[in-house]
Amino acid sequence: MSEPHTELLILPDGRVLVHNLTPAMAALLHALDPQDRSMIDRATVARSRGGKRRAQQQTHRTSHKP
Amino acid sequence: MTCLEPVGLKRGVENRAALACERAQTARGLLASCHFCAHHCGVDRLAGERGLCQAGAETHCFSAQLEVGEELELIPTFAVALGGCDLRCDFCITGASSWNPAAGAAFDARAMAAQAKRALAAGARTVTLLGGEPTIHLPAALEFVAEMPATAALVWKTNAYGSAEARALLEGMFNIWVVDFKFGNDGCAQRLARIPDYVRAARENLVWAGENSRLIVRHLLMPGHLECCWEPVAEWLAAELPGAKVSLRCGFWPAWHARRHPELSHTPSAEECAQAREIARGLSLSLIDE
Repeated sequence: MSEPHTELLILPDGRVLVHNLTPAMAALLHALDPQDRSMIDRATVARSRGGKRRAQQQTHRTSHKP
Repeated sequence: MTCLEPVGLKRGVENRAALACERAQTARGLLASCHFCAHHCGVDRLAGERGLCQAGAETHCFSAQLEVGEELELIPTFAVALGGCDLRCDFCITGASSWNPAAGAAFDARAMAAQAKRALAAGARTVTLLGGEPTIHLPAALEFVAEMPATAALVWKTNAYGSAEARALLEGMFNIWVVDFKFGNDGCAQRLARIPDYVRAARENLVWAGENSRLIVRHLLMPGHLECCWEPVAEWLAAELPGAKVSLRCGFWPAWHARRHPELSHTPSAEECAQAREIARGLSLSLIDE
């Protein structure tokens, strides 16, 4: 078992592409760019539903398809 | 794995766990002549033979975690990724694991279900089985379903290359199917994923999924494939599955062996993404998560 894992690709124009977005990473990306609409929704869901108790969950090594 | 036999219970989703247990045993027997996907290799996986997916009788899991990157109506989802796949997409973001059925740890359906149930109790909305391609691991997938409560919202994320035999075993097992409609023509499917007869198989799976579950159709927009792939996919969806929810994903990046194909060596341009959405709107597709 290892820690939750997200893959990021930061493009030269500043866009950030994400795979395997975990609640913690959603919160971080939202904090970095509060205007990013797609991340607002995901960070909100993460905060309100699963994210606050995510530490209870065990994880394997991560990554999956977009 | 052993599980209780269903006794005197009506078959159907309300009896999902018992039915899944029964079908898991059937599926394991079918490994002796595997026809789970449209390759129809017919190999005896129980005897160590390997088909195009290279999977044997064992299942491995290379990822299991809470995620919020899927479609909004599914998240947070506890996503369980099984190693191995029956496609060979050169652009696969998880190629190393998806092409390798031995990637990750041996899959213990009961232990994984316990993790999934904890995630649901902690606020996860759904549990998603994906790969690689989960269809090649039907026995393990059904054993997992057998351990999950009837109230759990289960998501089957597939590449749409399953066979009729696989669909018969999956009927009533998953609440939601997220189906990747990857290519709009057989030429691109063969060249980029080494997969024959793709469009027919994908359409067959999509129609079935639309009739038998809640359906979300995904398409990952590939650079340079707007006209040859997205446009025909969108047109077919508009004609044949007009009410389906469509998730157009513009997050392609050149992973794994993508650079074998010059057009896949970069991300889609903002213009391509805008054009793709325009095509969808022009056809009145029900785009979600815009």
